[in-house]
Amino acid sequence: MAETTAVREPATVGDAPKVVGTASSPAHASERPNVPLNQIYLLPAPIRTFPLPTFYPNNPISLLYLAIAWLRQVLRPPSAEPSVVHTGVWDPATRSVHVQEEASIRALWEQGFYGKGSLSRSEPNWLKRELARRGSPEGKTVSEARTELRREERRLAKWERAKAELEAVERQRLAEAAAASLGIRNGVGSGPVEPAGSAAPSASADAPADADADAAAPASEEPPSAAEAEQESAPVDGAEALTRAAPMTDTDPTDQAKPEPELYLRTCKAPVGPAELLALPNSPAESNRRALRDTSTKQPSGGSQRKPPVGPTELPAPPSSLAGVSSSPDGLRGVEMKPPVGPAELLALPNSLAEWKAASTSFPPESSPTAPAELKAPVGPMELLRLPNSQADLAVRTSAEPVVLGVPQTTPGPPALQETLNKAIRAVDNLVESVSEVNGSAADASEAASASSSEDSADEQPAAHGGPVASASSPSGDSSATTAVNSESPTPTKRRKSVRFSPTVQSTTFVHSDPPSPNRRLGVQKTDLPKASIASHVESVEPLAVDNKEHFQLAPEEAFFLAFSLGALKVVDPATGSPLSTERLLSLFRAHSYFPPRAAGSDELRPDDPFLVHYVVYHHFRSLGWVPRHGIKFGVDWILYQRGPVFDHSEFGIMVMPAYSDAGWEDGDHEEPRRPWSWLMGVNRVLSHVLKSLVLVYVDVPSPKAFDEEMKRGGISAALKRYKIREVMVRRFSVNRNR
Amino acid sequence: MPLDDDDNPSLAPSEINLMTAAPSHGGSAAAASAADEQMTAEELLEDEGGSAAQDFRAFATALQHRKNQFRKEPGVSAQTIRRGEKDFESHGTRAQADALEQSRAAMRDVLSYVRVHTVPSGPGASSGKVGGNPVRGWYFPGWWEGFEEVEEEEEAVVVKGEDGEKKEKKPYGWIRERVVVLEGSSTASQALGRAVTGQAKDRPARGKDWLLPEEALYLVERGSLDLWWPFKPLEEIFPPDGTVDAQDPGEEEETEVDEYEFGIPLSLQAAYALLIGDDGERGKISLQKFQVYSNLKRCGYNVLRAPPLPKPPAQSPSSPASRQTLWQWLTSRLASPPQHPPYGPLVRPGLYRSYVPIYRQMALISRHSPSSSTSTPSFQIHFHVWKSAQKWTKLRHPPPDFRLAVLDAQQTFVPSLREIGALLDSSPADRGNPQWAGHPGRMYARLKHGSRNVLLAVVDHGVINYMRFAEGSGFVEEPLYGRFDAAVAKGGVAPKKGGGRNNGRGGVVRGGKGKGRGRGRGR
Repeated sequence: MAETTAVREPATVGDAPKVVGTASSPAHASERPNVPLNQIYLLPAPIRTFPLPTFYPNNPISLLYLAIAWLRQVLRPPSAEPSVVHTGVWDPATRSVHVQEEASIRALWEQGFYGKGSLSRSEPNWLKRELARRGSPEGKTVSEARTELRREERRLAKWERAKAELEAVERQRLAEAAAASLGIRNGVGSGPVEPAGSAAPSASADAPADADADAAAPASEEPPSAAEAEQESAPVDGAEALTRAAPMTDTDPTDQAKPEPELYLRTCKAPVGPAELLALPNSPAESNRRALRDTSTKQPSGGSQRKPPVGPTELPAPPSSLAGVSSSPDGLRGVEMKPPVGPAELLALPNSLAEWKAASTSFPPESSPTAPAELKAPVGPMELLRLPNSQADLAVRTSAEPVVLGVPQTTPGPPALQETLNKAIRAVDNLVESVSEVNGSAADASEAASASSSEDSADEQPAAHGGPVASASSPSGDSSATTAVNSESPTPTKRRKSVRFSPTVQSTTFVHSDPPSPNRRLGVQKTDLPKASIASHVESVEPLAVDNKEHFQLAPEEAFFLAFSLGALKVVDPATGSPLSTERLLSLFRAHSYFPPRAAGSDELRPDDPFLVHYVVYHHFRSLGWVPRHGIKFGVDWILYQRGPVFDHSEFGIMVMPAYSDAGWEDGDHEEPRRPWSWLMGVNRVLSHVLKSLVLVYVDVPSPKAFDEEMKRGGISAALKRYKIREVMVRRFSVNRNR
Repeated sequence: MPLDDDDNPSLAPSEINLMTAAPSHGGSAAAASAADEQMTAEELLEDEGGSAAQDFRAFATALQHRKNQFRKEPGVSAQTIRRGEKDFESHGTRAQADALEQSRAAMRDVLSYVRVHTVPSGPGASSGKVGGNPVRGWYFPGWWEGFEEVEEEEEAVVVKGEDGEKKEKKPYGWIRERVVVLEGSSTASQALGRAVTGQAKDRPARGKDWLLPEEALYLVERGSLDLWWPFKPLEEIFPPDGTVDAQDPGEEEETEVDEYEFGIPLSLQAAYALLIGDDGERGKISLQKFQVYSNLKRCGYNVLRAPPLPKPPAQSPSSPASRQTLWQWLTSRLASPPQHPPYGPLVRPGLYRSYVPIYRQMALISRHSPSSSTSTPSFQIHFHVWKSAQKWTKLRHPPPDFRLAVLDAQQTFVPSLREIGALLDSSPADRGNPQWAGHPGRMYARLKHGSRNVLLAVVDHGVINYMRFAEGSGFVEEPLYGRFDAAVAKGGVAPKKGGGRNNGRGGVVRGGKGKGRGRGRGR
């Protein structure tokens, strides 16, 4: 018993600074490890209480504690609460009160004043995030980083799921094809009913598959007929692309040559399916190339498949220089002179010389690709899935490639196929966990990749200058990209952003935590762009002394509550720097609750000012102990927390409904808001989706006459007493569930 | 579970199979009585509550199952139908095509299921007494026009009916509105109609059941009632008691010969034309109200018209002040009422030992207490609704479970304070489950239930949306600041209790699966 009181005594009564560490030294409170949240978010208001320890009659020592505590408070009384008066600056532009001091920001946040701004963040921690971005280890505790990590996990899980589904479908297809082959072994065209086009799902619509008719034709037109199912790899499959992309060591040309007659048989049919239509040549050049390709595939060339050059220097070159192409039949298989038509290709085109230079210089020449570039454009679902979605993916992919490359081309049957797949998947899985980077776009990665590949192909194979090429989005295995990802570094995602529609094209990377107006940050990053374009070599050299640029925007209701009810805030005029009186503050807030702001103190201010009505609601719930917060994120006016977002979800969403039942309003020109039922249903629907329930808070506004009288008599305190509130809980009633 | 919304996002199918998905069918199996059983199959087909498509395969197997079981099973339960992954497109496998074809075949089977229109067994949903032909009802709109009903007694019944009062008083009958008289005895229907008592012996059609327009139309739609248009006056069709013995069997024989001498049967359209009208018209009902009525009846509720303009219950509005104990009153007298400075801080600077006085000083805004002079005819309670229960008759029943007002979504708006106040004040206090009282973990349940409630049926061109409006007086009645002192006292010592940063956010569990469209509830 004595212990409990002894323990409790220093915690509650004891030295005030210890209890109110949140108020006096708040910056340290949250950084100390393992401080319970209950202790950080202890105070419900910026006022401390000093309860005397309990007296237990059966424990005389407790009387001693009580006496000591009382004596201490008598002899050295703590300063009158609220002891800490924060300072804020009224900012008419944002209609908020800016709080600059870090301690005040922290304290206000912990006491349930959340201000405007990003509603989803869990605390004001810009500094921490910024430190984390610059490589400080502190960033691991930032909740935003955790959220990012979780999203990445979720994304990967989805990716895995989609892959598993596709594999299941593919297995089913293989099994059915095998079963069908037993029955109809000699019939070529009498395959199963399913169209070949079904193999290419709708995902290929926005993928470059439409442009890449060459690749699509063999891929999608191969019927699951007998001969193919046994000899070649299965009809459209991602693994097919993988194995084909592997260096063909020209082991047996028969394997390559065999499908050909069948291919011709198929292509002679009238194109009816979507895939066939897509596979039709779009231009004469294309059809030329197709014929060329068909002849050239008879002699499969070695592993020297190169990426065609895409750099802008080649752009002026005639698009279909057939002579040039045919002059180098070795690399012919790799050359595709398609005009860029797909969205990915268009995106992948360099926008200007500057951009191309930036991209190409970012790669040191040593890091030129050693692995043979893959040639096949992705058309099947598996290929599309395997496209690098981000730099991380790219890294994963390239490191997984050796596995694929190791598989000889001569084992194309389904078991081998599965093996290949499984290996690749395993490799992916291993790497995927260590990866925390997200969301680079495929176009970006491949843009850089193709640019770099164009660099070395330009000097090696000048004859192949064929113009812009459809391989832009093909998963190129540039090893330079492999080095790009340093998964241990805590840097958040870098995104590549290119600014278009401007004579001077700029391209830079940006980070989500950057302020929205990157005034000078752009220039800074641009200078070191060549070094750190994709790679994460941004471990900046500058010391970790970052000044906190974060300020806090208190909403007018919150600021007025702090100033008027608690006296814990001093608001300063931005122009003069002199503190504003509460009366002046009130009229400012009322005037600025309209847009454009009305003249403060004029007759246009009425008792149903938006500020007053909302403040009444805020004050009502706040004075009952609830913690209101702006609820625009959920489509309501306020949301109500029991303690705060740290502890629990808000349970209620509040819609403020002014009402004019006062007799003084009858003649007036007020308009009672007539909201349609669809409005209510919509609000309720959104709220119930986030498991909150809707509360309509009717605010009965006094008539202007009565309000003015009260203002003269007893100020705003008296006037606020004339407002009445009635809460009505609204929820949908399900007939099916209540009988 | 009462008050359960049916849009629980966690229950909503994130991906609905185009073949295997079930109509979310509430408790149809549970509520299936003998009379309802034959509807279960159709209900499954026609259920509109479920957002999902129907799984005809599951339905067909259930149908087969039921055929074999000679109807011993209570129907297709929701468990037999399960949801699955949705195939968004054909991926060209034979298995998929087969499944689709199988599903189509099942659907054809289901649709070709022969629905037998059994001869209705009488107007009452649960009455099996009158068999044979559908009951005939005659349309006499003017018969009760001049009838004056005493309203005073009805109030007593509504209030005291449950107390086991010996002297039975009938609920308000809406006699003036009754326009259709039923043939047959009054015991035919336990749920509908009303026989007007206290009539003179020589009145014609004495003891016959008279139907309200919505009741008649509901029966006609259901096929349990033949509505007839009379050619002869009521005295000839239903002669007074003296001549009953001679006439009644005679009439039965006559129907064989010349049934149409007395009148002609009316079509459904005619019934609609006769019984649907504007709001004020006597003997008619507005379309919206009828739609709500028939929807509720079909869902198994017992519905009666609410007595007109019920007087607000005489109990004083429960304000927190009125329920203070004497000691509290004394202490509040002793403590001087806080004098708030006009613009100054409401909380006087000083030393505080508890948060309660701090928050007491901040209390400025009081709850709106309704003025008694509210008379709003636009919003009033139209129906009293009971859950389906065994012991319910049209004359003896407990107080209603729900009170319901019908609104047109196009012509009304979200109620103003006056309108919703009048509605809420006209309904009695309902505090919900008494076990919730005082339980700190049930605070949200208490708050959401409210102290009194009313249902609004918002009808938008035939689509009915039921909303429940409840008085949220709990915010004031149990303020939160009472807990602060304990929290502060505990806060220094107690380790992290119940509040993790990721509490309930479902970070690992949910994100790990990467499934589902819900992202939690936000903050």
